[in-house]
Amino acid sequence: MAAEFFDITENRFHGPHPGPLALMLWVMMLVVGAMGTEAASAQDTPDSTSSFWGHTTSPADTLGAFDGNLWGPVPARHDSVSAHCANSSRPAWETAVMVPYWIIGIPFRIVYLGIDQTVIGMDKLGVFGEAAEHPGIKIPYDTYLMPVISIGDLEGFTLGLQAKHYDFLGPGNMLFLHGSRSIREADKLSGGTLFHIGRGWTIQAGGGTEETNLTRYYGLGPNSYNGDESFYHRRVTWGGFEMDKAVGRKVGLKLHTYSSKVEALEPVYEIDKSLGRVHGDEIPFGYPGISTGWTWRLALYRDNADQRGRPRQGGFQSLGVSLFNASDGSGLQYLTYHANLEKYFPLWHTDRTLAVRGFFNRIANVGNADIPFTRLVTFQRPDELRGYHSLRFYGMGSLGVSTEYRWPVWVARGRNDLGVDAYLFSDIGQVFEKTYEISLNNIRVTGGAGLRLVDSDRGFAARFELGLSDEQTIVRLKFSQTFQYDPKGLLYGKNPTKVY
Amino acid sequence: MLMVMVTALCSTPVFAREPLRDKPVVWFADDRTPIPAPEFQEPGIVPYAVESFVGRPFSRFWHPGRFFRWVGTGDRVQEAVDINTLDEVVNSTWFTNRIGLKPLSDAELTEGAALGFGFAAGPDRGAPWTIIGAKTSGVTPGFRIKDAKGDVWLLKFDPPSHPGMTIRAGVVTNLLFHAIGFNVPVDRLVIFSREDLVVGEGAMMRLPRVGKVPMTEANLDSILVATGSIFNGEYHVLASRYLDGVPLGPFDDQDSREDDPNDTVRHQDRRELRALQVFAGWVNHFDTKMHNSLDMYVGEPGEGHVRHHLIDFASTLGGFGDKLVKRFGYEYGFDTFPIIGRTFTLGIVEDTWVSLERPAGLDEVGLFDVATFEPDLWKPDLPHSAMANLTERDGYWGAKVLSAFTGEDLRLIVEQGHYQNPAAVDFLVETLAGRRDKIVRYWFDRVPPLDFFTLSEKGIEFHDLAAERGYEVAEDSRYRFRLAAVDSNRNTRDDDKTSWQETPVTLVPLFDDSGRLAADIPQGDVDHPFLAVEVQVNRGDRWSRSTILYGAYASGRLVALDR
Repeated sequence: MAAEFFDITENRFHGPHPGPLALMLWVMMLVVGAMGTEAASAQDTPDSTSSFWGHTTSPADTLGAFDGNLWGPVPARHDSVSAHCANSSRPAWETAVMVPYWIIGIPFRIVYLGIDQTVIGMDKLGVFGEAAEHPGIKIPYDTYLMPVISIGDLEGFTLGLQAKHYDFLGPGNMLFLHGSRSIREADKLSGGTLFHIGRGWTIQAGGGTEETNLTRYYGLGPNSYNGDESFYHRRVTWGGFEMDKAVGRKVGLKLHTYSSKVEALEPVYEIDKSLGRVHGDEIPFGYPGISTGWTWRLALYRDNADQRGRPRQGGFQSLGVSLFNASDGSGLQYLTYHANLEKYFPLWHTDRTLAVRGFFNRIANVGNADIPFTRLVTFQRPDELRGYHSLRFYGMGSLGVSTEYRWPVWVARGRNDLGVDAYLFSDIGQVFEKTYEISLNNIRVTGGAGLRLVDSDRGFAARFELGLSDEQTIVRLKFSQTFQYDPKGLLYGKNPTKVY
Repeated sequence: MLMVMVTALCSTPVFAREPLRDKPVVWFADDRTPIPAPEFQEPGIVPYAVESFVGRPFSRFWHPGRFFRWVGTGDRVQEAVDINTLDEVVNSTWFTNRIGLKPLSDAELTEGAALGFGFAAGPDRGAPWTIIGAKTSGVTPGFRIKDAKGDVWLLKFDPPSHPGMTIRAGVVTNLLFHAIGFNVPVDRLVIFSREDLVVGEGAMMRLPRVGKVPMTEANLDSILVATGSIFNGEYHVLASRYLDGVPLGPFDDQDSREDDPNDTVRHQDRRELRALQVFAGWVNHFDTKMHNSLDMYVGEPGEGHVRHHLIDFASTLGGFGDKLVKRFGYEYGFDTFPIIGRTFTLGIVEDTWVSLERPAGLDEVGLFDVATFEPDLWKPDLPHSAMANLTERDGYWGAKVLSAFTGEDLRLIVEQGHYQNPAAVDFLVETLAGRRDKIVRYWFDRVPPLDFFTLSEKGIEFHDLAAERGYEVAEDSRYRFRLAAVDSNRNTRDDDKTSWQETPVTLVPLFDDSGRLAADIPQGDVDHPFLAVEVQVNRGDRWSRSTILYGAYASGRLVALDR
C-alpha cells in the first residue's frame, strides 16, 4: 500500500501513497475541514505556513539607508530585516485535485522515466556529444556505431548494427559495415568503402548479401490482381565497384559494375500464399531459380536544385543505361534504360513548393533468352506508386508522375537545418509488358499525405506517410524520400539490383 | 468523489494572502548561511532539452492545480515566494534591486558588474595577454587569457559571417541585465591588436576529431584571421572575466539545488526568474537554457555560499551564432500547437514573424524589431519552467523595472557595444525603447501601475507609473480611494469602509492641520490595527481594479501592498 511515487511535476519522489480506503477517508475529512482551512492555519500559526515569515534578524528599520529607494529609506543589509524564503506546502484543495492526476499519470510517468533515463544514459555514453559531426556511439579507431532497428509487416522486427570508420586509409575515405537480422529471416550483411582517387574521382567498392523471406509477387503486367498476392524467398548476393565524378558544378557521371546473384526460392513463412501455390498455372520464368551475371551501368545526372532536402526551385535529371550479361550459362543479355526528371516550383508563401517528378524505366532484351522475373522492372522506391505496396507490379517497363505540394510545419533554425514538412501527394503510373499497354485504362492513380523530417545539412531525410489507392491504404515510415532520392551506393552496402 | 472534490474546491479560498504584521518590511533574503561547497553538476544539453520540451510542459499542461487556479484567479500558480509584503523581490544571492527601485548613475549603467572593481576597461593591459587555452570548434572561436594582474578572461569572437553582431549584443545585454538586478559576469567590449596576445607556455587548443594539441603562434594567426572580427585593423572581442569563486555548474529553471541548504525556493517560484519572460523578451534573449547560467561558490571553503549568475548574452538583440533565425522569440524550438496549426492549415497561413527582416545597412544588428514583437507571446527557444509560471503580478513587476529605463539610460548602455555605425546605436535604442513600451503598456493595462506608496506629512503619497513614465497623460488620469480599519487577515470592522473619494492627484490625505489622523479617517483598535487604503485609477473609460496599501496605526509603518 505504501509505495513512493515519482511526481513528474515536482521531479521528486513523494512519500508513501495512501491506499484507496485511506484515500476516501482522507477526502471525507478534507471536505469536512475544507472551509477556511487555509485561512485558519495562516491566522493561527502563520510562521508554519507562511512563505515568507520565517525568523528575522536585526529588526532595525531606522538604521542606514537604501538611498533613493522609491519606497523610502531601506537600511543596509547588515542593519536590516532579512527573512528565510521557502516554498509553502501545497494547499489542501490542490492536494485533493492532484490525487486523480497522480493515479492516472502513473503509467505515463513510468514511460517517461524510462525515456528520460535512457536519454541520460545515452548522454553519459557520449552519443550526443559528437552529434554535430557524426551520429553514433564513438568507439576506438574513430569508428561510430549506430543501431539498426526496424519493423516491417513482412520482415517483422529487425535489429542490427552499422559501423562507420572515417578517414579509412586516408583523409575523406570511409569504411562502412552493416549487419542486421530480423525475426523472419530478412537478414543483411554488407559493407563498402569509399576512396578519393584524385581528379575529382571517387571509387566505391562494396558487397554483401541480403535476403527477404517474404517478397511480394502479384503477377506480371499492369493488370495483375490484388487478390493474387503471393510470396517468395529472395536472396541477393553482390559485389562490385562504382566510380563517380563531378563533371561540372551541377553535372556528374556514374560508372557502375557489379556481379550479382539473385535467387528466388520457396518461402518458409506464409506457405499457403507461396508464389508456387497462388500462381500455379502462371508461374513466372525464373521461379524457383537463380540468375547470375554482371551488370555495367553508366548514368549521367544534373542537379540544379537549390538545396538538398527542401528545394524551392531547380531540379534533378538523370539518364542511365545498363547492360546485363548473364554468367550462369543462360545467354541472357538485356539493356535497361532509365530516366528521371524532377522539378521544383516555388509557391505563394515561404518554402511552399510544388515538386513534380517523372520516371521511365524500360528493359530491352538483346537476345532471345527469357528474363527471370526477379530481374524485371517493378515499383520500388523511388519509382513507385505510394498507394500500393512496393513490388505490387512487375513488367518490362514502368512510368509514372509524382507531384507533391509541400509546406513547412516545423523549422528548427532555417531551411538548411532540421525540420518537418507536410505534403500532399499524387502518384500516377503503370508498368507495362509491351508499349501498347501504356494507356489511360491501365494507369493507376494514388494519393495521400505525409510528413517529411529533413536535415539538409546532414543529408538526412525520413518520412511518415499515408498512401491511398483503390486497393489499399498504406502507412509508411521510411528513412528516404521519393524526390532527391539518395540511392547511396555500394559504399553503404546497398543492394545494387534495386537501382535501374 | 469528483463532486466531493469540487465542493471542497469551491468552498476553499484558492489563494490566501499572508497575514498583516506590524513589522519592518523585509528587503533581504537569508540565503548566505555558510555551507560546504556543493559538487559541480551539469546535465547534458540533450537530457535537459528532453525535459524542457517533453516532460515538464506535459506535466504543466495536465496539472489540475494549474487548471483550477487559472479558472479561479487567471494565474496558473501561486504567487512567487521571494517577494516581500510590498510585492517587491527581495535582495538575495540571485538578485539585487537596482534600476527598479532607484535611478542608476551613468557609471552604474555603463560599467555594470565591473563597477568598483577596476575591470571596466577589460583585461589589464600592463603586459601582453597570455593565452592559456583556446576553443576552435563550434561557430565562434575563443581564447582563455591571463592578464597582467593574473585575472583570467575569456575572449569571444563573432562568427565570421556576422562580424560585430554577437559580441556587441553580448556586452549591451549584459549591462541591461545587470541594471535590472541579475548577477552577471564582467563582459566588456575590448579592442586589441595582434601584439597584445602571446601564446602561453603549455597552451592547448582542441581540434575536431583530433583532440588537444599544443597551440602555436601560427595557430593563433590563422585563428585570428578567420574570426573576421577585424575593424580598422584591430580586433574587437567580448572579454568576459571569469567569475570569482568555485564554479558549481548551471542552475536549473525548475526545482532547487538539493545540495545547497540556502536554495529553499523552487526556482520556478522565484519572481526574478519568472519575469525573465519579460526581460528576455525585451532583448529577445531566447537562449535562456540552464546552461547559460552559472552557480559559483563564493567565500572560503566551508564558510561560503552559492551565488547565482546569468551568463552569455551573445544570442540577443537578434543575433545567434552564424545563423539568423526568424523563429527565435516567437516559437519554442519545438512548439506543438503552432506545428499542429500549420499542418492542418495546409500552408495557406503564413506566420507573422516570417516577415521579419534585418534593418537595411546595419550589418552589426540582427533580426530585432518592434512591429512583430508581442510581449505576451514571446517565447524562449526551450520552454522555461520559471517563465511558464509568470503571473500577472510577476509580469507587472518586470514591466515596472523595464519602465525605469529611460531613453538616455538605453543609449548609454548601447554605446558600450562600440557599434561602428552610429545608426546601429540609434536603431537599437529605438527598438529597445519600442519593445519596452509594448511590454510596459501590456502589463500596465492589466495591473494598475499605482506603486511606491510612502507616508508623508500630508498622508499617503503614491506614484502613477504610467503617467509619470509617459505611458498615460497625467491630466487624463483620475484617482479614487476609500479607507477601512482591518484586522491582520484584512477583514474590515463590520464591513465598515468609507465611501469612494475622488482626487486628481496621487495623494490620500490622512491628517488634519494638527498632524493627527483626520476625524473622518477610520480609527484602529486592538482587533483592527491596520489601515487599508484602497486606490483605483480611471483613464477615462472605467475604474481600474484596486491597489490596497496597509499601514499600521501603532507604528505608522506601511506594511503590505495587495494588487
